[in-house]
Amino acid sequence: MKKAIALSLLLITAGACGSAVPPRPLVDARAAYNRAKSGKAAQYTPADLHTAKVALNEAETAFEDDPESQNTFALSYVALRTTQLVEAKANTKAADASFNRTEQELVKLRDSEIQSTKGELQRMKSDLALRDQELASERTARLAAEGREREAMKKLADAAALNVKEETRGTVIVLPGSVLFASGKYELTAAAQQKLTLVAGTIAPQAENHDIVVEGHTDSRGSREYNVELSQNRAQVVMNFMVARGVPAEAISAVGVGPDRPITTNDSRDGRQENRRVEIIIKPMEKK
Amino acid sequence: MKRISLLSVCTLLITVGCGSFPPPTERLNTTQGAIRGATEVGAEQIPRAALHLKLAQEQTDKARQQMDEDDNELADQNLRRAQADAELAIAIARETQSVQKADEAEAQLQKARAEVMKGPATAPRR
Repeated sequence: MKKAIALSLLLITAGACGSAVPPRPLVDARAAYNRAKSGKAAQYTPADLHTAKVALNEAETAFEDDPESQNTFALSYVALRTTQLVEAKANTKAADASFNRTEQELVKLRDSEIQSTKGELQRMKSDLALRDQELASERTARLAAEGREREAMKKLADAAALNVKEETRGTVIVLPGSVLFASGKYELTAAAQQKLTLVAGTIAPQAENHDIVVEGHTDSRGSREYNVELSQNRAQVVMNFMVARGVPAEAISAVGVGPDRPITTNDSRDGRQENRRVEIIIKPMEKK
Repeated sequence: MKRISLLSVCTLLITVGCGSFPPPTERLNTTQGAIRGATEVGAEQIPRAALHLKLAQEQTDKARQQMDEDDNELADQNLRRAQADAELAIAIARETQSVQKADEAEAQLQKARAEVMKGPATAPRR
């Protein structure tokens, strides 16, 4: 009887020592601990990792003492859960850290967006100010130029005793035909040359931003064809003279209107004389 | 004589073994607290956390039964397990929430970056 008991005890002990199979939770706990140790836990939750190590050691000790006991199983189970807890805590901390980094990035991004918007606004403001300034100075310059032109025209009218009118088609200088040409001719008289020299001197500086048209007009005597040709030739002569006196050729053109646009009656001598004329129209160029 | 003494020693040991283990009332309270905590952080709504919460509840029920039957040592072991599960459920719930928050922020950042890349709608330069 005693021998039998001793033998069975021996067998149990041998079995326990030789091939004790660790309970499943202990196997899992070991693996989980190794995973946690080489993962985020070492960085984020070292203290909890230590707690897990203590729990695992307790389980290991219990397993060495009594592999089959309920206590060993319970301690192994607790060790496994403790290790899983460590991993969850480490993951939480890692996620929180990532959240904070992301939030900071967002703040930085928004700050830089605000800065660049501010910069853009500043640039637009100064662009606008610059443009206002340019417009103002352009306007001042234009007003000054207009004033100078009016002044020059007035002087011209006074000096050459010419008729200068402001019309919708522009500034119109009317040169009576009797002054310019002998009847039926189209050579300029000496008096005409003197007057046209004055006109050219006034117009030439303005020609750059004006269109200048020289129009020849006749009275209604004679054939229309003849009169148109005559007026064309006369306008041409005046134009050529002006070009010779410094008016740019590309700014000036000549038109023969003939008898088509009388300014008064052709029934009297005085009226016909008034209708025979050359008009120089100075028109500001259309702004592009 | 010898036989009697061995038997009495055995009986004594067993009696002491059973009787010496006090009811784990304190651990029961702690564990129930942890279970309440897990419920409060929303563990029931997160499958992975819900599993551990359920395990904790089951093990606590079992422990209570064992305490009724004066199986205090086993009850204590079950309560240790239950407490570990409840605490794990809390940790998993928090983990899930933190990861979700971080992911949402990351998505927001990506969206904001994409908008910056597209460039602000500004008037053409002169």
